[in-house]
Amino acid sequence: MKTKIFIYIVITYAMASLLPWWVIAFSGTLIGFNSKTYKQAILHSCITLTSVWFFKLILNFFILDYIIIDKIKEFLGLSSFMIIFLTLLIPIIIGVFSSLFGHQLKKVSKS
Amino acid sequence: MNNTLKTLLSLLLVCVLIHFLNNKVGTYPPIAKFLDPFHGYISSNNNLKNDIFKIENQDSLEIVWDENGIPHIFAENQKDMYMAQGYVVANDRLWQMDFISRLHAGKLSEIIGFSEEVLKSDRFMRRLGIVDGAKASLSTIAKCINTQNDIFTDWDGLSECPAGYTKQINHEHVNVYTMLVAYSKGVNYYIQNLDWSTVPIEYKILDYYPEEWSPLKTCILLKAMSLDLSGRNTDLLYTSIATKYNDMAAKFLYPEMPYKNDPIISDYKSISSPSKLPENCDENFKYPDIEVNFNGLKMNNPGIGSNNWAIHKDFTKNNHSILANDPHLGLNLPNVWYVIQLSSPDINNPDKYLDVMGATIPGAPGVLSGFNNYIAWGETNGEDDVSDFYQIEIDPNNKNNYLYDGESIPFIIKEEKIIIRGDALSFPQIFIDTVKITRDHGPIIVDSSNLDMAEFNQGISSIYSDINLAFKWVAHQPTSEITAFYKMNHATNYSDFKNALEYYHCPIQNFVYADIKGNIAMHHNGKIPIRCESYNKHVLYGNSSQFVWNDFIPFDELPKELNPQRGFVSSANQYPISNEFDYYYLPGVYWPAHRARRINNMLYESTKDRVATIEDMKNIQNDNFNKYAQDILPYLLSQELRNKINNDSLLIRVYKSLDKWKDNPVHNANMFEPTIFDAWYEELNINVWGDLFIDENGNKNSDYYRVLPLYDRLLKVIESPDQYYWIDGDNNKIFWIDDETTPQVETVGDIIYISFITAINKIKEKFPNKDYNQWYYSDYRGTNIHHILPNSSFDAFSSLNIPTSGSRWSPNAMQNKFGPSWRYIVEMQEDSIYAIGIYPGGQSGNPNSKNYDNFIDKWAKGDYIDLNYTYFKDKSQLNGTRIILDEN
Repeated sequence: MKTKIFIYIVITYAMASLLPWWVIAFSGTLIGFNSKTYKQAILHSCITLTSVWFFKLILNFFILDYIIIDKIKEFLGLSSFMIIFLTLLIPIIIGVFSSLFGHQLKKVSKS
Repeated sequence: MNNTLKTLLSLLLVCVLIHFLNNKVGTYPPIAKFLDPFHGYISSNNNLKNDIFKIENQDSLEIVWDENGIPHIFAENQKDMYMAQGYVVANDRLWQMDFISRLHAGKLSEIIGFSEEVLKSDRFMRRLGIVDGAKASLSTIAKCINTQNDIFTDWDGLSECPAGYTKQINHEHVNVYTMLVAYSKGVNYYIQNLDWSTVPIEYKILDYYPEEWSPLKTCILLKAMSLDLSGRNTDLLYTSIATKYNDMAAKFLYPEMPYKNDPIISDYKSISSPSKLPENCDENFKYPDIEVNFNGLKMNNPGIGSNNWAIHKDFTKNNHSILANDPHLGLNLPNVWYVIQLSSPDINNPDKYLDVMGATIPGAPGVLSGFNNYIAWGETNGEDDVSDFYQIEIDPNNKNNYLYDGESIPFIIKEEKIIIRGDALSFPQIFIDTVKITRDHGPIIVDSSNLDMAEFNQGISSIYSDINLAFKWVAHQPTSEITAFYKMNHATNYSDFKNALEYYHCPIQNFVYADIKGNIAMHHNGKIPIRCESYNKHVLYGNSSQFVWNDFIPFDELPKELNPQRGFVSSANQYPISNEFDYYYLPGVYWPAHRARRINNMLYESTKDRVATIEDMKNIQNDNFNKYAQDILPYLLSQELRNKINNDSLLIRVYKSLDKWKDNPVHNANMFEPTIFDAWYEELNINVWGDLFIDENGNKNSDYYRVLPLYDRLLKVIESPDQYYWIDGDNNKIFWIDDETTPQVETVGDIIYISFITAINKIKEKFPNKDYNQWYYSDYRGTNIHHILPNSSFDAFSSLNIPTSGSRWSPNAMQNKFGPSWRYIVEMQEDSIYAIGIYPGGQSGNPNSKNYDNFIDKWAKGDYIDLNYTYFKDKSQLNGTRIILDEN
């Protein structure tokens, strides 16, 4: 299972680097389609999408040290924690609903 | 629920989620698109791609960015040079140039969506006709024309002409057209290589992509500069004051000739006498009765002003002429200016290279204030009135016509289609605005059928709902500033420079000049309409051709001087000439000469022993001395005031401090006396003039700076309160010093005392726990440089509370939102030109760049950077980040 999630993460990271943000919905759908249960679909999808965005966020915040981060914090009126939280909420929400759709699609295709 | 339905519903839910997270809602950015750690706000970086130029580059090209991020472009031909300029400027300032051109084209709603203020701004800009003026200017250079000589008016100067039309380039402007096209192509190469990851952050916040650049957009930006510097018009204010009070009152409050003037041209004998004065001027002219709501008036901005001067080589220590220029404008981030060096073979003499350097506005090719290896130039605003309002009389029998010279003339009706973008919750809309244009008086910008617009733009009170005002403006005409600047960039001597000035039309500017031979000159230059003195400050009647101006002061008769006896030339927005001889009538609101007098005093001081240096010039540009305070304080710090405050120890201490300060009134950031002077001055203005500007609710005007007389008027009435008054209809003398809203008669002593007490109380409120000697000027006034977008969220991209010295009366004309937008000094020597400069901002428009605001600290301290001017032959010695592009 760990290998599977790792592969999902690698594929999603590559896609997210090259394509617009909403490409993560395709990943979620794919993960949902490949999952055995709704619970697994949601869990795997959320772990994958959130990990990808979280990894990139951490890279941006702590390694690249962009001047812009402080300005964006002020622009949005949010702390670093809230920006990270809000940012990670997006892959979680998309992960949940796209994987549900993917899993539902699997059911329809089987029937 | 069956599985298929569940699947479709879940798909729909995912799509709706993506829609909302991918599109902006109101002023909020598209949240997921913006926060996306891969392509969102984090990835908006400068993105130079070296291979871009190879698309059209024929010869080798070298660009060096020095340690300050200033690009120095060395090209083997001018086409490559201007293309490279377009590319590097776009790399640093694309969003700024795009936004400013959209703003003035009335196309902000297309990117911002629905907002009442934005829609009004778009409608106003379209009514004002900036794009039409820009098209007219472009058509002097190149146009699309058919066999019937019809011009295709929607041409942007870059695309192919439509079928049936051919491109016609004015042979006189071929090189200018080549420059405009090359520059646009350079910008567009940059745009074409952008994707969502790399667009500047403002695009991500506002959620749109940049449009292609074109020569027309460059012309729009130059018209925007005209609006900034000459769009202010006193006609409505003047006529309102004359209507509400009388002409005598208006003449005193808004004179052409300020008190204690020190004219720009020191030797009036160098000015040619008028050859063509207006005829048939009606000396008994009675202006139309128009009264406006003063709150809405767009009037003089007290922060805008500029200085420039040049010293002849015989008066400098090194025997080289020196030129200095510091235009004062509204301060924003990114800054209005961008510094660049452009080097290539001289187009007129290919064996020699032309190395031009200086400041330009992003979006305009070449350099607007700078120098080359032969000459240097710079500008201050001329302040001349180059526009007029005309009251248009609609034909009662046909609303689409107006009455003119006894005839009924149809308006040109133009339908302006304004696209209002949608967002996640709304669809795009189209707003159609009908603009009426007169034949000889310009567009109707105050339209009785669109009074909401009238109130927004010109403060016309709703009680005058039948009023229609047309706006005639020199900038509507096919002016050719871009050609003038092109020629200045390529000038190698005074004769070339003078020739360039013939092409310069609007706004009127004071052009200072110096060259490597040691010559210096000053030209008050542009197209100044020839007018009758008796009526051209008022709103005029649009029903008679008698009031329409068509002629301009001939170029050779404009005020100018070359190598004057005093050894220097200078200007600081004051009235250009002495009133001791007959000349054309010059209407306008020229600045009182306090800054000019101080500058001239310092120039006399530094040139008297013929040893002026660049250090002296720095000292003048950063001089915080307030000559106005020196003039007015002896009257304010009267014995009467001393007696009145005798029982209050704080007031006595403050009084004594000011009394000591008045001998050397400097506005330094760490002093407290300028705080008191500024606050006192504000209160004096309210108490002396406030009763004139009562709004419809009976309140004193809350936004005085839009309408106040300039500060020399206050000095006059404080100096001699019994001499200045106006006479009302009942033949009563109404003294300016008296507050008409109170039953008692105030004396000048009363006004000074009340203003002093109120000022001190207001400062105490601002600094509740500080002793008076800690009321530091930097804390009281400071300077804020806001991001161009006027939304408080963008304070994150602004630089606020900068501790600055200087004042509106000092050569270092600093204010809260205005100030020296570019300071530069150049010493002109053959083969060894040295130049320094600074502006409040940084070369990059990217808030993520260290070059976004890196000049601000130095600027606030009065420091400069070496512009690293480098001759083509020495380019290899220039240090920095280098890109060398080989021949294709």
